[in-house]
Amino acid sequence: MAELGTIALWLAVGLGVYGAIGALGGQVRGSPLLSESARRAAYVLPLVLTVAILSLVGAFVGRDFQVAYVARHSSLDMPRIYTWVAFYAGNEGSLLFICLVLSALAALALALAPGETRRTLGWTAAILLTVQTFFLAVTAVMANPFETLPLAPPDGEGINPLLTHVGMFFHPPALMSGLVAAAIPLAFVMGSLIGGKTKDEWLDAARQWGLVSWALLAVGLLLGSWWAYTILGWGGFWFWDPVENAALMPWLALTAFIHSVMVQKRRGMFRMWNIVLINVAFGLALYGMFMNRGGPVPSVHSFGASTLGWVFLVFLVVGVAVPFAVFFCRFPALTSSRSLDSMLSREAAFLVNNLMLLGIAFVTLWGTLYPLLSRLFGGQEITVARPFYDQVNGPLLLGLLFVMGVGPLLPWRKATPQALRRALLLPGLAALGTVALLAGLGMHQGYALAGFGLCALVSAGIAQEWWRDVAERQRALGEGYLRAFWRRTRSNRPRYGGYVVHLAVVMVALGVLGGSLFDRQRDVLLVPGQTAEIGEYQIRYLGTVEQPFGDRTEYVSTVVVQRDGQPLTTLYPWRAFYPSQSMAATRAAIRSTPVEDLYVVPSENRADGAVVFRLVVNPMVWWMWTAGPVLVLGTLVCLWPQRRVVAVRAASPLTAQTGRQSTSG
Amino acid sequence: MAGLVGAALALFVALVVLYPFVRSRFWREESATPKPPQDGQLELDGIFSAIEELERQHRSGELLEADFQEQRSGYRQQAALLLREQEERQQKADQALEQEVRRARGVAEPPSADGAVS
Repeated sequence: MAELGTIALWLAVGLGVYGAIGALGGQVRGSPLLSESARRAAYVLPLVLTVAILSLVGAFVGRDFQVAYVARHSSLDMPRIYTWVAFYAGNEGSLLFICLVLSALAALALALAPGETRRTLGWTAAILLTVQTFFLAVTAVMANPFETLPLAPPDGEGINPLLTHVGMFFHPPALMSGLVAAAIPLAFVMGSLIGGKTKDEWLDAARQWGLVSWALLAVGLLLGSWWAYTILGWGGFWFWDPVENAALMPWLALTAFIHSVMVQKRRGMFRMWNIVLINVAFGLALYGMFMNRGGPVPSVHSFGASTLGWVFLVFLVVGVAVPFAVFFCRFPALTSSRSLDSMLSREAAFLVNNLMLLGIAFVTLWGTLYPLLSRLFGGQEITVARPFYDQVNGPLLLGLLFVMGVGPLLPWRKATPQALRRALLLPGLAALGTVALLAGLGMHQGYALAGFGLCALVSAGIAQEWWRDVAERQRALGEGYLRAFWRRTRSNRPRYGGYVVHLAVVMVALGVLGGSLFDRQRDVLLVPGQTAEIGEYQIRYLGTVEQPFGDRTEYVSTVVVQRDGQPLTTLYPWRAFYPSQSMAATRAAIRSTPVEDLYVVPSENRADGAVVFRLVVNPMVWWMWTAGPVLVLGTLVCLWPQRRVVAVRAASPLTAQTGRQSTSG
Repeated sequence: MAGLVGAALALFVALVVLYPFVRSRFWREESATPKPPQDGQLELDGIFSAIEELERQHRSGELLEADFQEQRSGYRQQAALLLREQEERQQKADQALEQEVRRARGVAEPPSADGAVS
């Protein structure tokens, strides 16, 4: 298996090099045959890498401990179901996974490239294949997962216990895919610019692939939060850990990009800004990979023992410098003849949204870099923790919610007083009503009132717009409401898909507000038969059972949950010790409802049967996890292909520009 | 065994990647195959959807009157152009069919304007 994997990996390296040079040569020399051959190299790469990956997975399944990577990340006692997780548990395997994902997405992007990008597709292919070749070469030369040991050990070291969680099947793949997928919109933008196409040729391709990367990162971040919530045992879901932040920052930049690009599509504005945004997003994605693979800050999320940090640092520098150099070279040709007509317009709202998103990204970057900078220049490492992020990012996030609520309701170009009143009256009343109701019920925290009021504003705005659109169609065409809803949604998928995504964001905001501002927490030492209280709940600890497994010993506790003396449920939180790794892992037991979560996790098991429990009540966190599928649904609606027409843009004082685009937005 | 599978994989990859050169060497005519013309109906549907969306935005106050008029006029021009192209295609197809039918019946072609028979 290892031999076949090695052959396939080196074959992939060869294909990558050939494809990159061929695409470049084909474009420069104007040779369609060479260009086609290079593209075929891109198409066949995923197949070759699948062979390599199957070889590695096969080595895991066969417990082939002669393969050093298999010996380091699995053992005879490892449940077989975690074979797939073990495959990307280390630097080598995860790099191979990244190579496969990038090659598959790049092949799809090249095959489905819109007509406007065809003339410069050679440049795009060359960029994508160069990035792929980098990852392939690093994998083959510096992190080869097929390296063998001179003598196979009788057993492996085992998988990291923290990875034995269902979230691990999706969280790392989604995040890794999201990070590398940021290369695709960048490649389309850079390909067009290098090829001298300085208008909007790259717009549709970059928007679609930016959305793909954004959605993958969003799902990865949500799943990562869920994993941290259930397995790390501290009762929270976001720690502002440097590596967590490293995945959040490109997501923020991509969020700005996928909004701002709609303004370019619709009004022909922000072209340069969008190029800067996609460059920043790609740079931050590279920074995320650098932090994750041997970066200078240790984290529960990173491959701590990696020596690849400097390679990724060099790639980061090149990956930021080259796109910006191309941008500056084309700068004079990129100017737009249009400007903002009014600050009370949708495009102005999008601009404010962009600035806030980048503000949050910058604050997060500063907080992530500060410990390094303080160590480098001050000689003493000063860590930046949650209060810093809460104080600075909190108001920005509230501002973002406000813009998210108001922006889509504003007209393009300029809002008249009548249009403003028509758009904002009902959502505004809903927001004020919510604040008044909550204040009347005894809520006095400013942040919470503002947050819930803004959630109401966004939701009411979406409901109002959707209802008006459907009712109008129903009146005009006499269709049933359901049919009118379906037809109206189909007629402008990016708009209504965006609404669904905004609803998902509101759900996340509810979870964050509830879990951050209203959480209650207690650490209690209980002996069997003893009861502790938290909120309205009484937690009765019955006892702990010791269950030995091959690789661990589990201590499963039984607690009965009551409310007002009535039994609600029985929970079984557990704590396990892994002797081969000298490591303990916990699994929280959670009673989750839309109103609140009751979270019980054992943090210490004593010899006499007493257990230290952490008890947490987290209001509304359920909404956060439920937001994931809603977000995916909204993204799919946005991405679902729609008939494309030559867009006609609104009047411009100087020139009217057209491009081959749809009219959505 | 692994070497054999690897060699087969390498051979397959080489064939796929080098196929364009082989094709151009031996089957030059393949690339000259003309693509069937599209009837433009899909684009037309797209334009009608765009006009419908524009009217919705206008009614809901999202678009200024002047922008609405200008954009709708632009889409209408595109639609008219496509419809004219469709009509021309249809006329050509009808003429060709008529000629076929005439030939089949052995009827002489009507003289053209300059008196020649095509």
